[in-house]
Amino acid sequence: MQLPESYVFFSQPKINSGKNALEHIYVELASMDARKPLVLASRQVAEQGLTKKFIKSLYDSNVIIGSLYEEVYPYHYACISQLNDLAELFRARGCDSIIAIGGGSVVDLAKGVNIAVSNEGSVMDYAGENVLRKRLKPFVYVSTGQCGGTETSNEAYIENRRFVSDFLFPDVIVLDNRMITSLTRQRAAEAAMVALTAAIESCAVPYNNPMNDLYANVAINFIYENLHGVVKKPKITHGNLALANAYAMAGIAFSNIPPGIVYSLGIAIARDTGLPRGKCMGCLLPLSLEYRVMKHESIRSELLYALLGIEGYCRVPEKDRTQTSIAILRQFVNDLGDILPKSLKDMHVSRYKFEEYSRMASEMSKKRVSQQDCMQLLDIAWEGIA
Amino acid sequence: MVMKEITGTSNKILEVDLTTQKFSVFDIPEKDRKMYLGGKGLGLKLLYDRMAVGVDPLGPDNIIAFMMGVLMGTGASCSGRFAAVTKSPLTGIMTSASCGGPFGMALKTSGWDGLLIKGKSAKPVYLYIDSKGVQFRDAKTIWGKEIRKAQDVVLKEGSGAVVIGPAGENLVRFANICSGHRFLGRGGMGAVLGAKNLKAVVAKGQEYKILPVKSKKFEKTKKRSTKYINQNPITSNQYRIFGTNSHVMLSNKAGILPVRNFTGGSHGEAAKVSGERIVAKHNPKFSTCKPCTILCGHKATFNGEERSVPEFETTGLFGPNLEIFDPNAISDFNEICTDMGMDTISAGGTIAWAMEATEKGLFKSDLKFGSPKEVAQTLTDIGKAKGIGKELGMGSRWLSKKYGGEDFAMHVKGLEIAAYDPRGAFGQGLSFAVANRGGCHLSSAFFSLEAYLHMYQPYTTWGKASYTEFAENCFDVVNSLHICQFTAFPVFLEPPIIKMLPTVVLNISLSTMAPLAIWFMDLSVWSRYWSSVTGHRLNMWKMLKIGKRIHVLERYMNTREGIARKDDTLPGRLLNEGRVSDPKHRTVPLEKMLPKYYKVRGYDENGIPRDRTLRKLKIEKK
Ligand code: SF4
Repeated sequence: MQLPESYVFFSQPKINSGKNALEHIYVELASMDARKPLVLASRQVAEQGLTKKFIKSLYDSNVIIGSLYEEVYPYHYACISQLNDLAELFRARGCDSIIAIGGGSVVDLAKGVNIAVSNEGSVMDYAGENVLRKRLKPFVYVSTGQCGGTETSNEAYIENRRFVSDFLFPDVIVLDNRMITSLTRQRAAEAAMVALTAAIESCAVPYNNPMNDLYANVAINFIYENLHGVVKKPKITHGNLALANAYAMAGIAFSNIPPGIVYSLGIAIARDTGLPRGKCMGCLLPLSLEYRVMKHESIRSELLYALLGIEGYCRVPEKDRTQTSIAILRQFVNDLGDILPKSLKDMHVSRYKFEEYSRMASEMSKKRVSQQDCMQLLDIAWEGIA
Repeated sequence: MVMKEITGTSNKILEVDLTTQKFSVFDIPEKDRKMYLGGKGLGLKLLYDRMAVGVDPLGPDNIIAFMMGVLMGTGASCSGRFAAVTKSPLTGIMTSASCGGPFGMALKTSGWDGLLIKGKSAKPVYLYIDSKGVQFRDAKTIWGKEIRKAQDVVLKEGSGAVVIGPAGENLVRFANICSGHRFLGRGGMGAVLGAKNLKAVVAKGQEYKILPVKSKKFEKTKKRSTKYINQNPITSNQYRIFGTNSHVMLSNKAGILPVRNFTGGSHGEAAKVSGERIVAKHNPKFSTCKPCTILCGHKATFNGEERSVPEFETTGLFGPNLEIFDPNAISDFNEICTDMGMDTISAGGTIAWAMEATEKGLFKSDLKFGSPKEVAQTLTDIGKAKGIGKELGMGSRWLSKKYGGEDFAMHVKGLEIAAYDPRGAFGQGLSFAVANRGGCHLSSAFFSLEAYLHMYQPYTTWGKASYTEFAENCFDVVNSLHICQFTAFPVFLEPPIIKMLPTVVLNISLSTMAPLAIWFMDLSVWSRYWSSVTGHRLNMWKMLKIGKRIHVLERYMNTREGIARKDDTLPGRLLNEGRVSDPKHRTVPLEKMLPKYYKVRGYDENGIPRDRTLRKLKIEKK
């Protein structure tokens, strides 16, 4: 491992994981001078009884729930009309902080409401990279085990527009066994693929950043060691908690690098087709590494370390480490069987739209990913994994 | 001159390749004719056999089929209609449309049952068709011309034409194709022709006379059909006098009229744009498809000019849905869409999205609810692909994916929904969600039974899946015969048993035993029409199975393009937001109806036709 000449790493959130993590929320809020949160959850989270559990955990605290809103629309992005209504509610009830329970759009919405209540003007004025200029209200994210890619990162999608700012990190990430629900096999695999993409694209490509490596490697390892178990037995508590931790770390690592080719393409295809992001990324991820090798671009051997740990890493001769890690990753995805399609063709993605997806992905990565590379990767992924 | 005769059908299809500028002729296999009837059904089958999965709708490999039904040219009531089928550039899946313009009759009486067009011409052309075949002619002088002007030029050479306007040339994703004063409206077929550099097709026509094989049976059926049409209050009165704008007040009363981009279901000023008001103030006259017995189409005086009366969908989506209650303004918008060649439903839906997105700060435009001034200019800009019009011409799905506002982009599968708010008619909600071509009101037209005729309770989910399936099958038959869909009202409602049943009993029997209720209807009018013209046997049960086959084939073709349960949904607004006009703030309980619908259709839980369903319907899996 080499120390790069210079690097920057930023991580805002405090992670509170394991038993009784919920009961610590009031302490965390107090430390940020907050005691009256607006609590957001989706209908589904409420139906699973998770908001009740959450409220129960605050019984002995001095936290006053400003408002509990359990009707977040089940969209894949935060919707502006709901966001504006909730910002109104926040102000009307005199809230001083936000807690989001769930994943995906609930968190995006919470981040959007936070932008609205902490800034002047329309939320949409803050779309783009690093437009936000000041700290937002305290924000706590309570994970339920989902992963849309933005929950623990510095990103949010509001009305399909990407917002990026270090002020969008949650201040506290709560990973409590009681709140982490078992997902279906399909959803678990898809969530893991989003996080795995974020983690791998944070460390396997040559943005050498030792802090990033730490977060990403642990995320990769947790996913590698736990996903198959969870897919087989979705109710394994420990496995689900490990995955939730992995998602949290992957999000933080991912916030410190520009979006990679798989992440950007995955978002572009998912947005157009309505397919889950995880499905698209799961199909592209192993192939993207092979494509890099084909182009004689390096893949850092730390990926193997992340997958197999120190012993496994040492057993493989240095020259074989890249190939071995790709083979392991490919096998790992293959072993998920029919949960993840093996090609874009299987997913019925339209080939004539590849140019459009490549353009969108390249724009999203601020041209750090070239359209040509995107096109070539998509062409390979069309037939997919043999 | 003595006209040549075709008894039954010519069974001949012209296949044109614009790239090579060659054409060929092939015969429709008898098996396909019997299994798919003609019109839309046969068009789909021909495309299924010829077109690869995943072709670019605007690329040379996309094929567009213009298909005449067996009834065209026979004089059967309301049979002056033809179908077109292609892959839509707006939705990326199959689209079909029905049109009552003179091209159908012209092509059929030139001796052709259909026309398939593929490839792309190097420069703009139009086609001239007669009984000898196809001539490729330079379209330099008409390219860029508005529809009516271009049509006037080509009609000097034939008796019927299909023409595109500037919108089709500029690849506006909801550009339509015009024939006479009627349109192949939905799904952007005009852009398909535009991408092929094809401005128009004109057919000489009047070369052949079409005769039914069994003329006595045909005449008897025609008599029965005409009797039903003239007895039925909707077809003999409501549509004949007020046209489809009679829906305005019915929808307003039932709370399904879209107001302000589907945020309300009724409006105090709705009467100003109603059919009744147009009759009172605008002096309407008939202007219909030919032949027609119902006579729903009208022209009337707007802004001092005689113009086509906008259909209800146009009125609904350019009127209350934009908070505009001026029939003259709506007529202006209709005229611009006619000249540019654009579908008024998608244009209205897209403009409503733009108004709301502008209001919410997601999109920059001058468009405002209630303000007609900017709408006219915007429509012209869309047709000419100028300024913001260029992006608006991509439709509301594309726009909302780029700018946000997906929850209020009122489309299904990319096709903007018609002017019925399904929060006041749950069956229509299911129907919009599962319709093969996207947000189509005609796939089952459930709103009429729920909100107008009260044959189904609008706010329950009972029986909705079964009826949707039944109506879809019927209308696929109707569009394959091909006959006007409005003939369904008399066929469904006029048979004596239906008329004798008290509404409550009918209501219960339809909701709980929809398949049995079919026994009361007289669908044999349609099967007898088809069998009398072709001479092949067909009873109504076999015919319904054919309808099912056509529907499932189209669905299967769409699933090969990626359509699945994820796409059988409604705009977020309809699923999550109640309306001010409805104190109960009801939303469409789609998830309750969808599994039942899949079950009756023989799809798996992901909405894909099961292998056994395909086998049963003799659809060859590819
Ligand atoms: S009823 Fe109306 S739409 Fe139907 S054929 Fe007659 S004029 Fe055309």
